[in-house]
Amino acid sequence: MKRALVLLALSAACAEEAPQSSTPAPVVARDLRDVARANVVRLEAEVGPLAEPASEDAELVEHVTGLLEAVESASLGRVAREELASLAPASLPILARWLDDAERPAAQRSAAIEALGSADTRYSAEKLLARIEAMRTRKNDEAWVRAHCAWRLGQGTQDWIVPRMIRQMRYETDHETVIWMARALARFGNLSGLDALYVVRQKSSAQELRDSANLALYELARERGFDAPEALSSAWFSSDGRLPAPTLSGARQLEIWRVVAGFAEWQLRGVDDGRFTLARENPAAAALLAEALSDENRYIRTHAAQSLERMGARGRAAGPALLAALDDPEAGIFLAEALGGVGYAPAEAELVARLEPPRSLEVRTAAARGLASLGLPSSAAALDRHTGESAPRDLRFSAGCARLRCSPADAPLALVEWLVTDYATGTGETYSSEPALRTWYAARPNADLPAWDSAPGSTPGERIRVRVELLRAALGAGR
Amino acid sequence: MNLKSLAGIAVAALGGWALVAIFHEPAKAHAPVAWESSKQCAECHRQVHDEWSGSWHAQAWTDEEVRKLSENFSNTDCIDCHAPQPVFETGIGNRPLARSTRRAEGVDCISCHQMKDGRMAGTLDNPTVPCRPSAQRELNRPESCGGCHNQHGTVDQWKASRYAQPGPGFQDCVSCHMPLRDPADPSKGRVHVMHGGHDIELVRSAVALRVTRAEGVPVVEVENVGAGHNYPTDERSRASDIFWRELASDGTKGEWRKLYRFRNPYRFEVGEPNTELPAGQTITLRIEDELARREIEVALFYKLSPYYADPARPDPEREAALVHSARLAP
Repeated sequence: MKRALVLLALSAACAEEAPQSSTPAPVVARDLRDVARANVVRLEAEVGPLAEPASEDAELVEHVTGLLEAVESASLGRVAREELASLAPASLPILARWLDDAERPAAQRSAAIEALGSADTRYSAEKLLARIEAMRTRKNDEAWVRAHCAWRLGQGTQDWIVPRMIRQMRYETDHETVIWMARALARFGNLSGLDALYVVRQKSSAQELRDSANLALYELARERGFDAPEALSSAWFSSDGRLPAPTLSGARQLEIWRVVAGFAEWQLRGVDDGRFTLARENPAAAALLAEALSDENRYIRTHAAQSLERMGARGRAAGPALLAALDDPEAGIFLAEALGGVGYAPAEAELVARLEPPRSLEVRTAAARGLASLGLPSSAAALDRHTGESAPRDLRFSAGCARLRCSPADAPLALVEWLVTDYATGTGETYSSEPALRTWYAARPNADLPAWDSAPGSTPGERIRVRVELLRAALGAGR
Repeated sequence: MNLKSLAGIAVAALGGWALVAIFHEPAKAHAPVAWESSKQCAECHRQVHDEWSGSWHAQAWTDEEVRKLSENFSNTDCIDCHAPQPVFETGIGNRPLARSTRRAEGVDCISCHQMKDGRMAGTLDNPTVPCRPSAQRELNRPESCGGCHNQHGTVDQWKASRYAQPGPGFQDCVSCHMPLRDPADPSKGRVHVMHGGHDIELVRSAVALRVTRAEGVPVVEVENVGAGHNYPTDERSRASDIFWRELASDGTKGEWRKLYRFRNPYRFEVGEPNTELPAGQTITLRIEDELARREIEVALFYKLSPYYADPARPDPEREAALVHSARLAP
């Protein structure tokens, strides 16, 4: 028995090892490199560090303190404010400390904000912006301070505040601050705050704030040659050249690249903020995101593509870069969707080609999503090949949604019925089928679009129920 | 036995082994299969599939609450974790990324098991069956869960607990959330229901509630006795509240009064502290209220959503699940 065991052990030792799992490195034909961090390093060198102004001497502290304390004086207040507005850079840290000190009288802190705003340096703007951002970590941080800081930043020339102010829009709860932040963003050609102004105009509990938001909307529109804010919004979202395209300063590019580099972080929280921020940036940011598609980090490539997709037409300049990178084995599916999102029509043929095997189902489905967003009638025939019952379910769904958006008038009713049935369950990809079905419905004679659009938005289930009724009525009429 | 006969046996054995090696036809490796739905897995793994189908992982996309919170996933940020690419593709321990297909299947078989080369991570190697399982120790490790669940710090909380220390007390995610079907026979695999906060019995096993008096003042202790992470874990939605009420001598019960809340707030709730109870820790609270010197009932409730319909007059019995309660005489 012992001998048998020895023999078994011997033979086991000679046997081939059990196969180990192999995870081959992805094949990426393009030259991937460290793009985001390299740009951060380059721009930090170009822009220079955000240095504290030279150390203050006791005499200066006494002088600035005296001015701040004098602003409430009936006889000296005006002179003190004028002098505060022309202080040397060495005074800025003193002013910043005054701003941050909640124990100081409001008038003195307000004067500090004014003086920092007048200085209009990177350092002073950083202090004002940081005061606004502090509300994310400090409960009940004074709203009036934030509103004043936002207003003052909108009077300056520091365009690099834009990405951080966009992010702050996600968190800001004070409606007056929101109004001034939207105006400050617009000052630098970024109109992403319009949406927030609409919300304040509609939902603020104070009539005064609703009026202020409305006034801001009309002023922003008229300053840019539009009669109504809706026309301004349309120009912003369509990026059709009706709005001036500001160039981005090096400092603003640095802020953008910092957000892009942050996509490599592990925590989704910062990534969510990053996607939110860049999706609302100006068209000029698309060139930076296009460059990020060559980063060696798959998360940076992926989230850069997602940001472009969410930029919509403002990201169209990145179309060629997206197309060139379309076969990225890790981020390709996001690039396919981004090509549709930015509306890059020259990508149609490549996306159509990727509907076919031997591409993976993931790629084919993503290509269909991209074509849906492009919405070109010329894609319809190619999509029809993948909307039959024999097609894989995911591909059939995505190609079906695309088919409705590309050529709704002649979409097969059986396909529409299938998509309506899926939509009615309320558990599928309603964010894809809803716009597709609306496009189809809008192409019906006697479509009641106001009824569709006014379906209650508070509960998704109720909204779907209302819309399914409209769709079924239209389907019945179409037979 | 002499040396000659020993050598003879060895030569014969080697010869036999060589013959087997030459002429034995190895089991044929199965051709790769395109995995497009976890329904495919049910053909061979019916029990596991059925367990998973009833799990919250399977409802990660379809659950009414998440659809409401994500506005039917039009907030696409949520997709990364609610319909992730296979974790072995993005890399164990890495952050998950959204997939394009079978989103309605949520966190499915493929999400956790499919490897880059199309094989399925499992506990043994077998290239002859359709899923060509490959033994992957990472499959059972907390890092596999961490891509999503450590976004809320759960795995880090576990790492800081005594349960993560090597030794007889070691327990990890699967120990509690995917226990062995038969501890005496690990080959029967693990339960794939992956129960958690929705299972009130599991929640009850996580904490202990003790109520005493000190000079007439009720003293309430809650101890995290069983969770290998904070109680409750998961930033955002989960909450657990301690309430108390007076019990009158005629049998009537007073209104519930909130004493304390265990919760890690949403990121938008700035300035709110994280009051989750770490593994093994105890919190002691006193009810400084004259009414509480009478007979009272103290109760610990668990909520999947942090909100009450009327925050001023919360109704925990209707809007939350009772974890533990205790009566305290005057």
